[in-house]
Amino acid sequence: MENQVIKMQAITKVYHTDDIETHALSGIDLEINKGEFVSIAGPSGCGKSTLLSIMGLLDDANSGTYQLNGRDVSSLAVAEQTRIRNREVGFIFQSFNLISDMSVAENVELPLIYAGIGKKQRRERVAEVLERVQMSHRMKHLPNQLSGGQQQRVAIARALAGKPAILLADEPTGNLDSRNGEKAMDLLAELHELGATICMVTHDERYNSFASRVIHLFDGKVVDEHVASYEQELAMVGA
Amino acid sequence: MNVFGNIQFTLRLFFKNLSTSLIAVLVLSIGLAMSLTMFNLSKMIMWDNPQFTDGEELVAVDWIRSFNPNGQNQEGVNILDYEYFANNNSSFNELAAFHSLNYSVYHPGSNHGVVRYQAGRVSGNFFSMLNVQPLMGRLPVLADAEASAGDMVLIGYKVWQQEFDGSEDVIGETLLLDGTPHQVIGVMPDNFSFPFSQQIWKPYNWRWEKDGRDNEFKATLLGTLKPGVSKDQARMDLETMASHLREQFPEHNKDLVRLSVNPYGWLIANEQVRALMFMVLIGSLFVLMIASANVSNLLLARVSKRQFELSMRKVLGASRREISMQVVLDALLIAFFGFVLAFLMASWASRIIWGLLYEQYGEFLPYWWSMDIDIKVFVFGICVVLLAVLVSSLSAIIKISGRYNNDSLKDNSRTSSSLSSSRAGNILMSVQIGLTVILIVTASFFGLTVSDALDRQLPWQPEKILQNMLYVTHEAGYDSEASVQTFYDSVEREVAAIPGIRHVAYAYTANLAANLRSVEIEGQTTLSKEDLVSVNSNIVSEQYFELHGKSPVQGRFFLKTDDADSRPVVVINQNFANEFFPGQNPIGKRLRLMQPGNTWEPQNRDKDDWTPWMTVVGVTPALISTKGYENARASGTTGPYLSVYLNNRQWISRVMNVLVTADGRIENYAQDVSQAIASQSTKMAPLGKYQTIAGLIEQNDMFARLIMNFIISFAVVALLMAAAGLYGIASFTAQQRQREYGIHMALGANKNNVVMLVLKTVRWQLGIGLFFGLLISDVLGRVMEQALGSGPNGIVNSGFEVNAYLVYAGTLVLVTLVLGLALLVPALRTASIKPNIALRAYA
Repeated sequence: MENQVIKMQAITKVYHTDDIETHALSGIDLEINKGEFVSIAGPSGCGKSTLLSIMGLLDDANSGTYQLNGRDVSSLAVAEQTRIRNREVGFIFQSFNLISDMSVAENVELPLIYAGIGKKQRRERVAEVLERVQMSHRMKHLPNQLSGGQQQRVAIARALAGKPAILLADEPTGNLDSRNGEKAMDLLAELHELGATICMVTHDERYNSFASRVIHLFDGKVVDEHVASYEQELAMVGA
Repeated sequence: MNVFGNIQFTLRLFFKNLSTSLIAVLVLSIGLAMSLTMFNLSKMIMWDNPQFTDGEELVAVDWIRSFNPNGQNQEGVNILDYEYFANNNSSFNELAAFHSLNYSVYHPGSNHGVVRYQAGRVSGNFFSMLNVQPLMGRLPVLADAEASAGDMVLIGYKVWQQEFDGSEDVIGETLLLDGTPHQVIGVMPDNFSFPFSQQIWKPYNWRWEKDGRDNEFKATLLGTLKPGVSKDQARMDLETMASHLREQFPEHNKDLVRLSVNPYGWLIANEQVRALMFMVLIGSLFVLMIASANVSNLLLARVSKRQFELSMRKVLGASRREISMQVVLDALLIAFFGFVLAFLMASWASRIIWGLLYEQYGEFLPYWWSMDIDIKVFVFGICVVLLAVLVSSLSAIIKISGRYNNDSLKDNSRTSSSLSSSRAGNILMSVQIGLTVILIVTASFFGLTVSDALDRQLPWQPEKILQNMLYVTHEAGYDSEASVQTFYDSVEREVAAIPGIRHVAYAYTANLAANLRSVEIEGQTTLSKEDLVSVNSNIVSEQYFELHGKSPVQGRFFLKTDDADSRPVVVINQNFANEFFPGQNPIGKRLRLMQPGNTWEPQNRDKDDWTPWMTVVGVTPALISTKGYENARASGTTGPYLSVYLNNRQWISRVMNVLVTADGRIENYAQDVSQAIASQSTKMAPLGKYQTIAGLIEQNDMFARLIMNFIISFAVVALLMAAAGLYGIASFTAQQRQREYGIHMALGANKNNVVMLVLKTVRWQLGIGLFFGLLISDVLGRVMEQALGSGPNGIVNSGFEVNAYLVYAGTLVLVTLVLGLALLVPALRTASIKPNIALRAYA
């Protein structure tokens, strides 16, 4: 229980558009323990990003329970959700989602500002995480002055800055070429080895092997769940 | 919250989007500058009061004695009534009286000429109530008002400097006021010209006047209220006393029917002026609202462009407050620069307006008036700009402070919402259009009504008559009536001798305003005082009628033989003849007028209430405007259109207008006329400047024209702002929907089809704005009519009625045309884009 970062039970999400109901998630049960690297895989439209949004308190489930770091966050007020998200969750997006009018340092500093951390401490932390992702030399650059791979590293640094309980990565290699994608995944693996808890959404089967556990979604349901080494075995026997 | 960091970022974005930022600043500053300027003007006219120690508010007691539809209200309190109020009231700390007048002032032995100054006859406690001290000398004491004390006077700083060259030995010096010596007992400071622009104060013993309540001295009452006593309470207190006076002195006081206790400044700004100023102030606030709506739309557009960034902030943990801060800071920055620019513009505009007022009214402006930007204007500006920030940022805050939406991050290369689909943007646009319609309708009503009122339709040419006013003074050596007439005759001869001069005449009034007197026709039923008809009267010389290009309709005009020794004669106008002598020959009929005394001449003051019977010798065509005469006949208020002219040789007046016509441009003769008059006496100064009657009219009408121009300019600016706003929205929407239009074009839509598609995006905003704008205008129009008054006592006295439906139709057409043009530009631009390019947009 102490090790559990995320515990979801019977999570359901339904979208209503005019007369149409879309069941994005149907009765999802999910647990992520501290230090795990979990990959959520599945085809387009299976509910991966929806699940990640609910995990990151960007969206609410219609039913079910959700505990984040031992606390029930199922029906919190928006303001409280925002606070918890700021402190407990670090997001990494496919499109990097850096703010184009802010420098690298300013982008990384943003979640620390919202956490109410003082200026000196913020600066130290920003320097530390940028050093970790090897982007210290580009502190004052704007995002459009960086390559895709560099932008993603900055995005990872931003996600790490607040020392979150879990990193949520939504298709982190989606906008990168294979080389930069590999580098991004290497960085995530490195962070995992240093103790970070990571939940990654991807539709690229190649990167499942970086994870310690893979959860397959299909039509909003968990259809398979196994440790990542099984994937490696399958790959070896050509299955 | 990282306030400094947020400010830095906001500044960065401000300069990054410099063009839209500057447009927002300019639009807001124009609206704000108009509001600041109008507030400054309104404050000066309506709310600024001379300040005295302890912050006591000075109030004036306004007294309406009677209301006679054919006459005029009498204002001012009989001085014995004042004594009763002053001694028996329970509401006032002090109650003082003053009577405003002008004196011809001459310092004997100096080389200065005779100059007219505004003066006041004041009660004994006048200065103690105001708690002012003289610069030199002393204030009057009660004993100075006794008959034995001799005439004494306090002079103003200007008089001290101009008549005594600022001499330290002025106390005890003699000053002639209308020829009567007065001893100078004190000099008032430079900043004191109370009650209006007075420079002479005479402590006055009214007991020297006729005893009893028949005396004509009417004073204005001023007072300071006791602590905790409201103006309403004071009014009721005085009205209780008035009822006692009505019982005790029914003959004189039965008409004490209405009383008001108001801030002193309201003596300057009557009800209609205040209504006008409120209208102007509200009009300017409308413009500011339109400007705020424009800025709001701009902020909405900027927020739309920042959708991604703001969504990311939410993802990273920004609270609603922090997100809203982004918008508020943007609005505050625009407001800050807008405020600075607005202040500069308002200062400049205020200086110009003050210059115009001073040029026309000069020293007659109340001394406490000033259009310098003071702390009250500054605070008003701050309040209004903060309100504008709130209004303009509200819709943007509502838009972006909603729940996080995944879609807003999906594609950060375009904004995810188009302004046309934004409800807030639509409402704002409708509000802008509605307010614009209201302003245009109001401006049209007001402009048409005032224009009509100012169009006097005089039956003669005012630009061809040169005018000035003479005051023939005792100290210039003209002690007797005969000497005054001799002076007039000699001036007439001198001026007539100037080559090119055609006519020289005199008139007591220049025919710009009615000078009403009750009339009685010999042999006709004697009416009670209240039912007597008041007609227009004037004192004129022989050439007066010829000067105006008129020949007698019946009988003759005045001759030189119609002098003080012959029977009193009058000339009447055609309307008078038709009204009082229908179907008869008026020549030889007799009439008399009431109360010549206190207005015409001091020497007539002791005469009976009625003039002697005067014989009609001639009938003249109309010399005053007959505009509105038919309406007046229908309502039975024809008095001002009926004229009686008295002969100046039989009614000698020391104050007369000299009127001159000549060949060519009459202004060119001003210097010659001035010299000709000066040659007859170097001791008399004309009362004004030489100008044509047209110039006099322009001076008279200046304030009304100024207000009219303000209101029209508000409407024009509002229309331009609305057009700019609509252009912005249409351009933005067209850009957002470019791909959609590309699809239409690919499917066969031609240029016209695409133009119509673009125009359709704002049809609802336009329609709703026009509809509600006209609806509200109709309601406001009725309110305005009430406030300005269209009856005999209203500011619009001609009975002119604006055709409301024409105005509404005209407004509809104008607004639709202008806004349609504003929409057409982006529509045509969109329709000109090649389909393949349009299809590629945001593909």
